[in-house]
Amino acid sequence: MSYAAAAPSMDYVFTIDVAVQPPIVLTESPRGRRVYIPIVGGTVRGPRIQAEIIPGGGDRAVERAGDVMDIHASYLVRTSDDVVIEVDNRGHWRELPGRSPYFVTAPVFATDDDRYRWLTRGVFLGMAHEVDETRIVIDVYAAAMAEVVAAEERTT
Amino acid sequence: MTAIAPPQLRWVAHATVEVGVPVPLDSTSDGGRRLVPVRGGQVVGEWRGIVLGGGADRQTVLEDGSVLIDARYPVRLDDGSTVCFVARGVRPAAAPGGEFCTSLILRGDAPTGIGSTVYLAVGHKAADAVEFDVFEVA
Repeated sequence: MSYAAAAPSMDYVFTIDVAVQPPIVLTESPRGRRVYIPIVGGTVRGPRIQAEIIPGGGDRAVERAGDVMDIHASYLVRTSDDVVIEVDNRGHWRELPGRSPYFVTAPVFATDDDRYRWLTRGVFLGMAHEVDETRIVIDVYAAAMAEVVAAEERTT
Repeated sequence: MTAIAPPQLRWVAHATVEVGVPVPLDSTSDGGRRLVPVRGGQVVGEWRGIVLGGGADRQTVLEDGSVLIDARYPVRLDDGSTVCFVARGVRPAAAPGGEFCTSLILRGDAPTGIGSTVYLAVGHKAADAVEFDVFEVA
């Protein structure tokens, strides 16, 4: 068994700036509510990718008792070199006493274009921040996959 | 990059997940899809859990031999709550020992601090089980 393998380093790759509209309530009860948050635009900016969010996606969020929210956003982006990439981004939002809320996601990307193959062979974390009701900013980090392989080799 | 703090990873648990024989499903433009049944297992660490049967890893085997992991399986935590582990990531083609990395999200009524947290899992595949360490993302 390989207890306590080293965590891979996380490298900054890009920032997603998402334009959203107010939530549409789908179901509501004392246990919480499910909402749909329309995604109407935005950008992806980083050293290896420049893209625009294609309007029409959304976040199917579940608001639970205790001021916590499950995030599941799904949308498309079109890169500056005209490649469409699917984004599927799950995560959690919750209040933290005396600090800015915990808002972390794990985006998964899909495309068959070789220029963006690295997006489909990686594991990513999104550190998110709600700027205001119309805008979410997410800094995306990639796990160093070479370290994942090397760390496990050392312990097995 | 904005002023948001970068992710901090902290080890919280080690998991052993017993898996069954892969069931080939179909081929799509993305690759060959197969279902790997999850039979049981355990999570041991700052919090503990028993992996229940009935879940599966719906894998996609890409042209270069990389495997996309999309696993969902129920886990009963030691406080009695049941959550669904949602693990998505990659086993790279170049990983000689079956090393993989996924994100890990819990869905369900787990205690807030555990359930409403995103994790990173790093591990490797053995013959009939996968072993991985779970890191909390803060």
